[in-house]
Amino acid sequence: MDKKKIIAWVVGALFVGGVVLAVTMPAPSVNKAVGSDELLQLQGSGALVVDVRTPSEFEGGHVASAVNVPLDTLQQVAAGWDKDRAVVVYCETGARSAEAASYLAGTGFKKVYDLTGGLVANQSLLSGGTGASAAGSTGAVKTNGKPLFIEFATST
Amino acid sequence: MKPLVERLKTAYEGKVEFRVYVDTGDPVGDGLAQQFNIQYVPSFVFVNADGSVSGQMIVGGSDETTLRQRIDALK
Repeated sequence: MDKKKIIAWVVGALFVGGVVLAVTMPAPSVNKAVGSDELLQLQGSGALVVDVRTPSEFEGGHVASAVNVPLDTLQQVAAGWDKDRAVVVYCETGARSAEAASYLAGTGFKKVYDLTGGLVANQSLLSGGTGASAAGSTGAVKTNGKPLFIEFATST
Repeated sequence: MKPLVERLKTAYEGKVEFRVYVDTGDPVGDGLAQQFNIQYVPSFVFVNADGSVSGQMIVGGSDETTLRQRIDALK
């Protein structure tokens, strides 16, 4: 066999091997630290936002539409989740969520995001949305003729 | 916050309308949450009788004195 044929065989074998490897290996999981803006963007694009604090911490205030799954129940609850769906975890300071993110990434969740520093480091979540600057805009809310107090609450 | 808001609701009965929305599925609440870009609960919005929004909304827990001041300032 001449030299050119040997090189062609080697290149071909490497290519086929690479393709087989790419097809059979699971997609690498993402375990990424994010800030509050990214959390909100991910939430807007359908990510599951998970608060891993205790129920009493959660009741005290939480990211709107987040679900509460305390860290000690995560293993049990996450067993029923779609591993292809992006998951964003957060807690008060980032310690528990880091543990949760590692666990989820390690059990096959492909897109796991961790709010860096937790709520403490992301106070912009508590600064309110753009609606907070809507003060004075006449007709902004339909009333029944009386002043109106609106609470977006954590529970009934 | 529920006991506090219930207390305020009783205190201002007939003078101020109270609406409480939990972050699940109510179309009116969801519409208002979108309008005010609610990112965190609890959040409080104060609205004058003519529908204009009064002051900045309060995001996160609050106390009775603050909430009463904001309600008393409504027209």
